[in-house]
Amino acid sequence: MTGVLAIAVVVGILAVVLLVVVSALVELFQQVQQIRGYLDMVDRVTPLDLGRSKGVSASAVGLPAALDTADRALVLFLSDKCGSCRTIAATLAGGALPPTLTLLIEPMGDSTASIADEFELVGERVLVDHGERIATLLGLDIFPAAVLIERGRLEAAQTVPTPRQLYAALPIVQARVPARRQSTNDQMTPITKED
Amino acid sequence: MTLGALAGGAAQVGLAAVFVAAAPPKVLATAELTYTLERLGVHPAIARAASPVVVAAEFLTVLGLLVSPRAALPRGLALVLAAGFTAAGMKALADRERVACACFGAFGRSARLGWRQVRLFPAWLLLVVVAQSHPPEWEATFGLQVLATLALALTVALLATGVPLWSRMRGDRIAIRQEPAIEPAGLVEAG
Repeated sequence: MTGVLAIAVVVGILAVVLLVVVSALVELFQQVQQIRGYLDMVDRVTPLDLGRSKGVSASAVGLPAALDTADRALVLFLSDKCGSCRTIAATLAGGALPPTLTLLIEPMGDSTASIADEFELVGERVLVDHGERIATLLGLDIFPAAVLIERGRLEAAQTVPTPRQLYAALPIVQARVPARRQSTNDQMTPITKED
Repeated sequence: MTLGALAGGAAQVGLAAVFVAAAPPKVLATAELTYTLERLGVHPAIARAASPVVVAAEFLTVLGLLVSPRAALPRGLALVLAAGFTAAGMKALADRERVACACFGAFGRSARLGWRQVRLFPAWLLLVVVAQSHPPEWEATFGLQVLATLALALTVALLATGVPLWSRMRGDRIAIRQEPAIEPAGLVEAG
């Protein structure tokens, strides 16, 4: 009986200690979150209002006509002067853009898309919005921002504070796997790595 | 087991559960409790000394209620503490002050002293009266098992809020960690 009581005492104490430790941990998490919120270091997107542009076709606001036939796509607006834009540009540097992403550079003042040159952002889906014409039409005055296109129409807009949020917002493209082995006569181009 | 005995046992466990939820989280938040007492007009030196006393009294109440269920003293102590919480709520209301309450530590960060404490006093009183009219007769071993079960259940409840919080913060940390790799735009030389 004494042994059982001793075990019950130990288990009771351990359970209370565990509760104290977990309470301290949660308390710590809450404090860190509070500090980050105060310092504006929380990675959170803010929805942006597209106004009258919501629901119109991509080409109607000056975006590439190819987007009118896109099932789902994301247009990323980067200014060449904001710090977060440069962080995102650095993650896209030198490589091919994700297949559903179109990049629009917003040159500020007299500069000529320096962010694209600096981070080697090249390709058909990297464009320069001279004079902020498209951004102004969409009412975007905060960068980095992204516009989601669904079935060729502008669906929603949001801020993109970090690369993590960019990749979270990117529409996923389902890979098309052939049901059977294709013959060599099919017009398929093998993927090769260029040196 | 009669219905009265069942009600008495349930009331006693209910009282203990409230203090199990209240006391452990406050062990590491005595500074907040001191601040709350100071806001209620208690002298800072007395508030500093009283904070650990309140937490210790809550722990003693839990132990008394569960390990020595027949004793009336733990129930009396529970009633005194409840009266203290109610008085604190009434004082905050009378002073028209928004006093943050460290009542449940990590369980209730945004809680404030006020009508809630006043409204809950009849419930405290009811639990104490029911438990006192039919005092439970379990052994200390069973009481300790109840204590462990209550503590573990509350730990699981805390983890249910803590894990999503941790997950969000980890995501933020990964995002923030990527920032220093880039030279801030403000430091780039123009031209």
